Amino acid sequence: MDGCREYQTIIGTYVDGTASEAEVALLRAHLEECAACAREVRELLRVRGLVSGLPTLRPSPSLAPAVAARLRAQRLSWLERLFGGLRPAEFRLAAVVAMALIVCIGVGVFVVNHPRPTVQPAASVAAPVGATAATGATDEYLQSCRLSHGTLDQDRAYWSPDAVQLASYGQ
Amino acid sequence: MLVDTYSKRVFNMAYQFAGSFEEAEDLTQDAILRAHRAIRSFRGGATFQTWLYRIATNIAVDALRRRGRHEAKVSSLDDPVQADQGPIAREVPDTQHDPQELAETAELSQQVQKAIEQLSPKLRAVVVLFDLQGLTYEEIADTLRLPLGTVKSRLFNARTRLRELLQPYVAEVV
Repeated sequence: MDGCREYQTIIGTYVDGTASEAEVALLRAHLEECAACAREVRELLRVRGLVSGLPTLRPSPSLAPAVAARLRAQRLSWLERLFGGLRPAEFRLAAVVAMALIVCIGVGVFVVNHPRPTVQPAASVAAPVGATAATGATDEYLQSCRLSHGTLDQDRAYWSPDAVQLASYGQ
Repeated sequence: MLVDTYSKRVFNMAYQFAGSFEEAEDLTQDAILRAHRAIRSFRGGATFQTWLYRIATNIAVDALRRRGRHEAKVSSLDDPVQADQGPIAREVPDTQHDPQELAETAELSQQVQKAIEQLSPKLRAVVVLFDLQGLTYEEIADTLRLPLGTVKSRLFNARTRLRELLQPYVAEVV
C-alpha cells in the first residue's frame, strides 16, 4: 500500500471527474493490480454520489420578500436620500465640485485674515557684512538676536578679529 | 433580481453550514445584504456567483466558528418546515418511489447531511461548493482564496473523512 501513495492525487481527481485521459489510464492500470485502491475508489465514488444526491432545499416563501424589504431599508440611508437621484458618476462629480468649493472658501478666508506683512527698511533688519563691523545696524542686529553670551560689549569682544585669530591658533 | 436569482442557491449552501432552516435563511439574508452594500467593490475579476459565494461562505464559516459547534444540528430532510406562513414542503423526489424506499432515501439523506455537518468548516466548505453548488476547482480557489492544490487536497480529505463517517452506507462487504 506504500507504493499506492503516489496515486492518491490521481484518485482524488478521478473521483472528482477531473482527471486527464493519461491519468485515468495510469490509474486503471494500477487498480487492476491493487484491490485496496480499487475498493477505495469505489467507496469514494459512492460518497460523492451520496453527497451530490442530496435534495435541493426550498427556502420559505417569506425569505425573498424579507430580503427585499431589508434591501430597501438599507438603500434609504440618509446619504442616499440626499443624493438618491444621482448616478455614481454624477455623485462623484458633485463631490469633486463640493470639495473644490470648500478649498476655495478656505483659501479666501485665510487670505483675508492673514494680510501680507509690510516690507521693513533694509538697514533695520540686515545682518552686518562683517562680524567686526561695529555699526549701529550691527548693534541693533545683535540686540534683536538676543544672544545669550551676556552684554553687547561681550558679544563684540567675542567676535573681534584678535579673539578669532587666537582661537584659530588653539590658544 | 439579485434576490430572486441567487437567494435559493445561497440558501442551499448556507443550509449545509447552518444545519437549520431558520439559521440558513438568516445567513442568506446577511450574505445578500452584504453583497448589496459591497456591490461597488465587485470588479468583475471573478464571476458574480463566485463573488457572492465568497461573501456567503465567509459569513457561514464565521457563524459556524463563532458558535464553536461541530456537532450536527440535524433535522429530517422530508419533515415539513414550520415557517411564518405555515409548514413548507421540501423538494425531496418522491412520486416514483414506494413509501419504504422513500423512507430509506430520507434516512440516507439525513445520514449524509449529518456526516457533512461533522466535517470541519474548512473541509465542509470545499465539498459543499464542489458537490452541491457545482463550482470548479478554480472557482472554489477564487471563492475561498486558496491555492488550487489546497482545494484539491481538502476535497480529497473531505471525501476520505465522509467515507469514514458513512462507512455503513458505502463500505463493501468483503
